[in-house]
Amino acid sequence: MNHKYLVGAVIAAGCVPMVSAQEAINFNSALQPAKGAMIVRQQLRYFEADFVNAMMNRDIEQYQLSTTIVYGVEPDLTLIFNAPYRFRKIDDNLSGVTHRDEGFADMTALVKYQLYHVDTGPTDTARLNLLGGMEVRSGDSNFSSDSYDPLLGLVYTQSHGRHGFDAALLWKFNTAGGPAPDRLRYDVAYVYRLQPEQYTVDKLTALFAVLELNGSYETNGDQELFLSPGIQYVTRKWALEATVQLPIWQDLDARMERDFIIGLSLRLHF
Amino acid sequence: MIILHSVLALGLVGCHEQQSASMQGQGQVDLAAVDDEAMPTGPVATMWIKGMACPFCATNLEGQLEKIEGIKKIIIDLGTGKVVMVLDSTTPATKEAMAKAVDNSGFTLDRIEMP
Repeated sequence: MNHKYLVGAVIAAGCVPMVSAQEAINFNSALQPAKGAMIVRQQLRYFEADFVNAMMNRDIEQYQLSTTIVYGVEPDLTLIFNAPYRFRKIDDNLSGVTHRDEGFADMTALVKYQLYHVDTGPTDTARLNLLGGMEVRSGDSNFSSDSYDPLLGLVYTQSHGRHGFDAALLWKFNTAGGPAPDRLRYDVAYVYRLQPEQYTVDKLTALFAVLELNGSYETNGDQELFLSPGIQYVTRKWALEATVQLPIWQDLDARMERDFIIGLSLRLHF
Repeated sequence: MIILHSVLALGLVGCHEQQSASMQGQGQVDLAAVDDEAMPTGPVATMWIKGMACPFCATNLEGQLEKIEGIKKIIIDLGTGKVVMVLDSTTPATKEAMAKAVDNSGFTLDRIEMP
């Protein structure tokens, strides 16, 4: 089977989403942890997909458990490392054979540097960050790509009262050659603080509703766009998140079409 | 007088008998249940901070302030950006150290009122 196509598709499902709070669930925001602070995130993602063309007819289920570590080197400089581990089941409808694989997919190392930052009120801020890094092959034969692929992007975050907005662009330069495409991820998110209406001394936990659009374009012409509602419960030390990603547009020839993606995550602040 | 400072500090962050506050390293604590003995006493400094958009932001700032010698208690009101600190009477934290802590947290210091 052609693992490259599958790996490419699942990477698009979760490229190191790392968040702080009042921000997007499925992609990076421009908020930074404090100097010396660390956030550890465990995320479980599940999806079902179909891969049907003239040569194959497959149903795919996949669980992905990702560990992400975010470390604040300086107030304007953050390191992000992500390691995804996958469990995958493939039903080949032509042969009737079921394949089961598990292993590490490509890991990602990112640097996030703050280009612009203005705080206009107690909870109001606007920030623009530069993202740069690399997707590194894991070497696991089941899921690893054969390349070290540079990543470059920009992310903007604005928070005003109960409202938050994030937008991000992330370009992956695929160095594997051959048919492997470059990929542009584009994401926007609106975040609304459901509770509390107003933070006070004794109201330092919050519940957020999140609505995202997560798109990707690949240089081989494949494109897809997901609508992703979600919810976040954030305390001072930990946060829980849940999201569902629903495809609203898919134009895919080289890889599978995912029916839906479910994501659950826990973040711990140290 | 010292107790008066502490009471004033709590008033500044909008506390009253029905409210509770976050105490350094102890999570949510009902201030009404904290008697004078348990309540740290000392001079009070107040800061106003901009840009703390979420509960994690409060933890970021508190973590930096906890590294400073001479702060006995930190109370953060995320809604107003007001941060009240009860200082050690003999070796109180300096204004410069507090400003540096805010800077390391990635937020903007609006102003500091020292005792």
